[in-house]
Amino acid sequence: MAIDIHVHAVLVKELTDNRPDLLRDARELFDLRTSPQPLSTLLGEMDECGIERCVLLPINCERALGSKMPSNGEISELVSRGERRLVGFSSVDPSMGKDALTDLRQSHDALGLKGLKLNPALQNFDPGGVEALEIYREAEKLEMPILVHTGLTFSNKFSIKFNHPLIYDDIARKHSKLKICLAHMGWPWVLDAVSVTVRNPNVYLDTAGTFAGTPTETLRQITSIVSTRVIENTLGDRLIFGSDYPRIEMNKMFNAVSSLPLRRDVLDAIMRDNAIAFLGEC
Amino acid sequence: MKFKTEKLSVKSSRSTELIRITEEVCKTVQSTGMKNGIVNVFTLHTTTGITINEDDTKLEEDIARFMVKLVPEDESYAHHRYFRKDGRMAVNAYSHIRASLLGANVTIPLQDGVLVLGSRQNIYLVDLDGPQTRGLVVQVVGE
Repeated sequence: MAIDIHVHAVLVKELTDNRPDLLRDARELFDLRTSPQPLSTLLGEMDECGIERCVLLPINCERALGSKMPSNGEISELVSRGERRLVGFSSVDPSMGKDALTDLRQSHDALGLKGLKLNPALQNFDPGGVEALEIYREAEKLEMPILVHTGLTFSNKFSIKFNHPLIYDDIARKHSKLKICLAHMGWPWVLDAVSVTVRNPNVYLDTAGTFAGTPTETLRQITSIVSTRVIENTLGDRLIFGSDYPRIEMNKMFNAVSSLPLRRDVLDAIMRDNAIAFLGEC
Repeated sequence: MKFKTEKLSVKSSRSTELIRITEEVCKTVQSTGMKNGIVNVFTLHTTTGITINEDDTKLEEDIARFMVKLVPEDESYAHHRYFRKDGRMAVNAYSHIRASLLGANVTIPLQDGVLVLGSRQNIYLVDLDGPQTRGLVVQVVGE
């Protein structure tokens, strides 16, 4: 069995049918223009791959772009429909100061969301700024792991400098109990993301993303930069399976990651155990 | 001569799957009230095909496996690049090629309100990039 920690809940038909603006925003702001699919399609993909649980991610871009894709409440609603197989994350905008802190506490206490998703270059905030540090402090207190977009984003609305993985070295050292996952292995800054991960035991990486082609082509390119030996011996307990669905079908990413030429115990850790270590009790 | 056009929704559960749709097509045709003419079953997608074949589960597996073997996934496809129309990487050229080999529609005669099919013939939607929920059009031309 496996866990997918990187699923975007933007093109779920149950949400877009009631909220046409979400469909418009997914297309115009998140640059994702595939057709909405019912929640049952996601659950069907999970069944096909033997994925027991997945993490649903929202992105709160209300200040930057006028949209929550989707809202924390909508994530919570999907989790309740997900046959106990969906884990909901929250998203807040650190630039909103005290309101963001309130949102984060409420999403944890009232909505039962388990972690925090941030995408600095889409939300247009400085991840090393004072307001973001307040959010990290609160997330650490609430024991909410953070999954942060690092590396390339196709949308060029805001500066990509906020997506650099090296930013999280200082944050990880300052908040040593805060678990941080650098999504997409920071592609194309993969070695920078790896270096932050190697020196900070509270930092993880996820496999999500297909920036270099198909999942197989992307992983082939990554393993040409970071050898399988380094993955097995150094990142084996910190690399987590994530698909980036619906930017890529879950089964395609699952097949590519689970076919990596790695030791069986390391593959098992990547596909499941490391996600459990990152998520804690979910 | 009249035209009646209806839509159907079909859900797949595997990446490559033959789904029997004869019963749904028959019900849809009956609901139009048309008795004689031709029925066209058309898929609205570029990574699905429509075909008619024998309704044997093992043959369904054979066809699915042969399509996968015939058009391999791990090739150097020109389609595989950032695809602005979708806002993501295009990674499924093989699904499109498989779909092209099958075709997007079949036409079946309609006589006295019944689809004229051989005893072994079954209509299939072939999903080549599932699992997904797919849309079909059933159009009856006749009277």
